[in-house]
Amino acid sequence: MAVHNTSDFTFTVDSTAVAGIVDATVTLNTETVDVTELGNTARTYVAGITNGTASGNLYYDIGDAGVAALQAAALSGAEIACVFTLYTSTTITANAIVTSWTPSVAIADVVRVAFELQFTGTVSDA
Amino acid sequence: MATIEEAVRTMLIAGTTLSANGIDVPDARVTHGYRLQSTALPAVTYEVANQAPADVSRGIMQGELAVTGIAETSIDAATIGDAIEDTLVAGTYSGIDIDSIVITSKTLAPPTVGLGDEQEPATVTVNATIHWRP
Repeated sequence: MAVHNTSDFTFTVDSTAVAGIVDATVTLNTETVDVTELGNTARTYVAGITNGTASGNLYYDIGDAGVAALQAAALSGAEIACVFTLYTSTTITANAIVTSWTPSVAIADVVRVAFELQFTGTVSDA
Repeated sequence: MATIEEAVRTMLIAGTTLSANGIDVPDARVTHGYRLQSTALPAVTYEVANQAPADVSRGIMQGELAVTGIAETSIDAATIGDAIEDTLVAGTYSGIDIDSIVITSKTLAPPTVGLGDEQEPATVTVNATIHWRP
């Protein structure tokens, strides 16, 4: 099994790369529907609707086009096209709505932003 | 490609902030790491420790900068400490973009004299967290 470092990680919003990503997480969920019948001794499920979210932290530099695009989407509620390249040629692609955009400042620290995305529609990987 | 150490030295000796602050530190006395014990005062040394990637794509680096001013008296050292703080300005130095400099502490230590005949000079150390793009 191969392991991959993050040197090739990229996150693009509407094809514009976002700079200064400190960490990022993509979560893909599949709901389940309980189809257990009377008389069963073990619960049985079938797959339901899928959905996904993403979150992360980045350095706040509004001069970066990607960061600016994320903030604009957070303010407008517009849907954005996101591509997470986890490592070379390995991507997760989805449209998303920015549900949280949290710039923060603290003494003896740099300005950062925590963001959360709600995927909408189909999530694809490649 | 220049190193962050070269860039920091370029930043420290930029203009006349250090070299004409009243307790003048000539550019030649701004050295990385250490100064020889027999060399003239005042002087400034610096180092960048804990250099590490700060973002996942390694476009931004982070390190802990420590700049030490050395003078014969603590008042002189304090003056140099203020000048050191004034030199720590984000910008492009030796081709390296220093994006942010967050001063985290400044420590003034008076000169010490022991029972022997040696005297240690006063020092002021300014610590900062810096981010840069190589």
